[in-house]
Amino acid sequence: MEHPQELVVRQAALRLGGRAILRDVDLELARGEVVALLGASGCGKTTLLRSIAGLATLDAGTIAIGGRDVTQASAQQRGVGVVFQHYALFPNLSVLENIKFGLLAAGADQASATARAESLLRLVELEAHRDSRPARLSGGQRQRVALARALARKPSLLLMDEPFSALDESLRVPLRRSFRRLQRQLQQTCLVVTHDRAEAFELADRVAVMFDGRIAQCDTPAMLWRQPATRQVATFLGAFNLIAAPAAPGSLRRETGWWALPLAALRVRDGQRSDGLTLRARVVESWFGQQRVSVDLETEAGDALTLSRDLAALPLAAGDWVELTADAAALQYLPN
Amino acid sequence: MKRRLFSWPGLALATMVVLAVLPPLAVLSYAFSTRWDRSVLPEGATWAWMLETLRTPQVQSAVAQTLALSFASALLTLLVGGTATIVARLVSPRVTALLDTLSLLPYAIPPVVIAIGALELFVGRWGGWLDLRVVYVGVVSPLLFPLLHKTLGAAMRQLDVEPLMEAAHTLGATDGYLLRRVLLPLLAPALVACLLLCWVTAAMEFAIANLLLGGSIEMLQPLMNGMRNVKGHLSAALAVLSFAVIAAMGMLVEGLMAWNTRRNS
Repeated sequence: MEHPQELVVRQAALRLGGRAILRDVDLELARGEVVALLGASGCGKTTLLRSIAGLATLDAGTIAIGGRDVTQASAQQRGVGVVFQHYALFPNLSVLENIKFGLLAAGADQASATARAESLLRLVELEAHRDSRPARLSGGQRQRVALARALARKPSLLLMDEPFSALDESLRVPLRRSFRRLQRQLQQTCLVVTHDRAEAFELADRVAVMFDGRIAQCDTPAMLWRQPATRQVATFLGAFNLIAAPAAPGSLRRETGWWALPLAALRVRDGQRSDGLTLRARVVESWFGQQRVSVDLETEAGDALTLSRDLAALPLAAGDWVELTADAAALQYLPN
Repeated sequence: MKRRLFSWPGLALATMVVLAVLPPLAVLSYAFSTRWDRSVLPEGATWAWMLETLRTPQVQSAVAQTLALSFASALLTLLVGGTATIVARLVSPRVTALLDTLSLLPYAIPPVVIAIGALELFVGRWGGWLDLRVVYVGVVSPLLFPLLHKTLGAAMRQLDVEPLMEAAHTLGATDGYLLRRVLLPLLAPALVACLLLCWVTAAMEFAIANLLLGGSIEMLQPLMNGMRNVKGHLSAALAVLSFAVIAAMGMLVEGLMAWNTRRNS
């Protein structure tokens, strides 16, 4: 196949008000793949999504969708589906009319538009609400209408901007899982913007972590958990202990850099020898979660560590010194 | 705890109420009293002035002319100004900013200056070939634009038009299609409210009506002013009738806006 990638972004750059929002961004999405753009507010992820949708114009770089260069094309010409953060449903139109909107705008006849909209209503399980106005729907129902509307024209690429962030936490998980099932069923290529790490890792085949207008790392969730590319990525993911390499014990000592250690890999030493890291740390504070206890520690060298333990484990009192260990295989050296 | 009987904010409020309510109350009393020239208070109650006002051919003609010309002015404002405001919003924020600035112009130029300018242009130098009523509509209409622009702009901001435009564009729709299917139906109550507001404002216009049409076409405000020194009771009755009509139209506008807010929430 000449263009196996559904979306190819090359060297995308954009400045707004004199500030660089996107800096030479490269991104590729294969057909049927879901990629999550993950980053903090203001990192440029929504701007990148808007540039791909044709709602923002790049200063430099190219965007190709389905092998066609759309860099200069208007939003109308790009043929992508977009689910907006606050859904942007048309308040004067019923659910059915909202879904038919794009089809009728493209010149489809009423009968075929209605048939397509009704099949989508079945897909998102909203047949009972076909004649309701958006104001009458719950947040989750609106989200599903927005999804059905975006899918109505069978877009090759679906863009979703924080699609679950406006929902209650109790609704978010079931809805994103039902979306993921639907996406697998339709084999829909999808780019999701989110600031929620759990959402990104659950929804996406690959996660692109963005900082300051750049993609710092784009990898599968498993690779990101195992091998963060930089200290910044490891810190943002919030699942690693970082140990300054110049102060690391024994053979782990380096002149510069950091050792990244997954939280799950750090444990209290139970007398067995370890081929990896061993160190002493003082208990600062313990935090009880729903399933684990998170213990804040401080090493002799002054590094802050977090130890994640079972709720059933013997409690550690503040001020206690503990011997800690981790396997060498779990350690990842980060030069920067 | 004892409540204080006097407070400065209370006094300010009471003063404002008296200043705002006293003149209309006086006009109302004058319109419904048999006479008010022998003491501080009016004497007797009567509907006679009201009925006489309604039966006066001069008043009937002025009301008809005023309603027709002010409606034409309001309609022209709605068609031209409304189109400009909506299209500017769809096209670019810069054009909206330009219209925002333009909408301040009528406040900067006194109506008398505009009326004299129009007289010079259409009656004095090149007069005769253009109907004065057309000139009046053409002169009053731009003066109503700020009212329409601000009201319609507020309605569009309340609607949060930009996300709807972006959604429509990503769905492949043109601005025209969005306008027809979504924006105009949503803005319809606001547009009707704008029309009514402009109509009322144009009907209450005095300076241009007096200077431009005075002597040839009788309009309500100049007539009311003219009757003041000749038939004071009739002038007061006419003012009360005008107020009643305007209040009814104002309530209609208010009701439409409230209905629109409820419908879109």
